Amino acid sequence: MPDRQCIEVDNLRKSFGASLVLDDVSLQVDRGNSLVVIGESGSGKSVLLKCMLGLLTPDSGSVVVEGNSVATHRESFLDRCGVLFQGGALFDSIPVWQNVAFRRLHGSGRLSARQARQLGEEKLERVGLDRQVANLFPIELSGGMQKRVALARAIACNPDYLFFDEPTAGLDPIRSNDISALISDVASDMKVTTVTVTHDMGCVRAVASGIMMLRQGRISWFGDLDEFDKASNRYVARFSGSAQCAIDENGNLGKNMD
Amino acid sequence: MKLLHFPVPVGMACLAIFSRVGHASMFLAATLAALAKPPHYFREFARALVSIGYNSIPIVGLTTLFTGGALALQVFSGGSRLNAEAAVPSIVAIGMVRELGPVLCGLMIAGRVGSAIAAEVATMRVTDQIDALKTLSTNPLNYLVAPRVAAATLVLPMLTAVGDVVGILGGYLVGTTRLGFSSSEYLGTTVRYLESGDIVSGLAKGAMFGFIVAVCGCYCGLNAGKGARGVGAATTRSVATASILIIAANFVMTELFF
Ligand SMILES: Nc1ncnc2c1ncn2[C@@H]1O[C@H](COP(=O)(O)OP(=O)(O)OP(=O)(O)O)[C@@H](O)[C@H]1O
Ligand SMILES: [Mg+2]
Repeated sequence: MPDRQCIEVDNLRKSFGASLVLDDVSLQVDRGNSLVVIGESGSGKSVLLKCMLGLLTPDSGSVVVEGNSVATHRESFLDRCGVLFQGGALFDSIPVWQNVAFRRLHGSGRLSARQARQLGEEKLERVGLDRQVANLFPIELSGGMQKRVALARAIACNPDYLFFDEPTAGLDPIRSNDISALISDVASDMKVTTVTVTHDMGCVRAVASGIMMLRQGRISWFGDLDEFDKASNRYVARFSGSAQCAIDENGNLGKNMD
Repeated sequence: MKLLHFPVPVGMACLAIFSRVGHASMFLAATLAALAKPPHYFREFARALVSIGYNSIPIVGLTTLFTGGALALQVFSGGSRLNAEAAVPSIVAIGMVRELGPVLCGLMIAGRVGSAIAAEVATMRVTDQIDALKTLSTNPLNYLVAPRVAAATLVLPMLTAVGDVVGILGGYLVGTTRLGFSSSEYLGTTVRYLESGDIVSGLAKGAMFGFIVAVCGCYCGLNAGKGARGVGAATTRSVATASILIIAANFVMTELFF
């Protein structure tokens, strides 16, 4: 049934010039589930996310959402997506509230400026930002505040799919817990299917129903949260913090760090 | 043996040129489609009108004022050898209106506006803002490219008209203060030999140059490489390409209107 397996990625390959970034990646995310992608810096997580969204064209392989290929149905898929980019990607020439309500001002389902502003302010409050922030421009905000504005923009239009690229990076621990809780709330309230890229174990534990570990462009581990904590895979163990050990380039266990 | 290898780099270079020209042509076609097809973003268009048109009046005015003055001096010194000093006002007027007004405007705008468009769009690209637009159901061609191209194409003829008038004024100031023309004599000769065809051909050139500047700026910006260096390179490329195309298009259009 195409409905159950909501997002299906098959044998995805992507390279830039000579460097192969994604090598035969296949995965599935069921409706309402929340996949977390972890992996070291440069392992291809952001590229995977962009390929899933159809923003990058893979060299081979396919991304299918509810039975439709993203390559041919990108617009209608993106209409139902909220995306938080790693760097925030806020539009710096317009004020914060217009950023948050951008889709309702310029894209589908347009609202009047007043209604859009109200929507913007509501969503800013939802991510813990003051209404006064609405009139500022993105460059007038701190990095963490920009992240939260970008998060507000991603969830603004009640999407069916949410993609987060490092939603808690650059936030203080308290705020980052709040955001993790917010993401898991949004996901369960709105029956949203989410894919989250993160390094933050707190976020992984709060959000994940499935965890995927990407290493050098390949999936090196896949499982749920319980399995994650008990995993014998050394990288996973090291990532989850349950093993304090050094690992050399080839993945062999070295001596204890302390 | 070496000789046999000679066609390889030549063939590669040809393929690269064809691919680039093809890519640019497809962009041009998509831009024209975006200009014709809704959604149209009138606020962006108005913003572009102000930044391209209104804010460029001083630079265009200064350039053409001095050029008109210099032209009067040059024509006088050349004309005096043929006893044709009396023709100074009409040669200045025809030279400004048919040739120097539009070309100077085009080149100044390529430097002032083309570079700004390229830098802005390229920055948006390297910070994922272009991808963010796509995920917010907004086509960058409609939202970013079409308003700028439309505004530049509309506003350049107006700037050219300003440049023509100010250039003639420059000639008039030099003619009446340095070359011994009386005010009525200078203006009378200017108007007597100027035809409406001269003015129309100059304004048409202006429109073409505006189109070239905005399309080059957007194209180079959207295809920028990575990081700050990518933005810088895109800016340089946009100004260089637009300048060369303006000079070439000027020749072709002059030939057409001849
Ligand atoms: N547009 C691009 N052009 C060329 N190479 C790229 C491009 N985008 C990504 N890469 C390369 O792909 C690899 C994976 O990049 P990616 O951004 O997916 O890493 P990541 O796993 O998200 O890392 P991080 O956790 O640091 O964000 C990197 O080696 C990077 O150099
Ligand atoms: Mg990344």
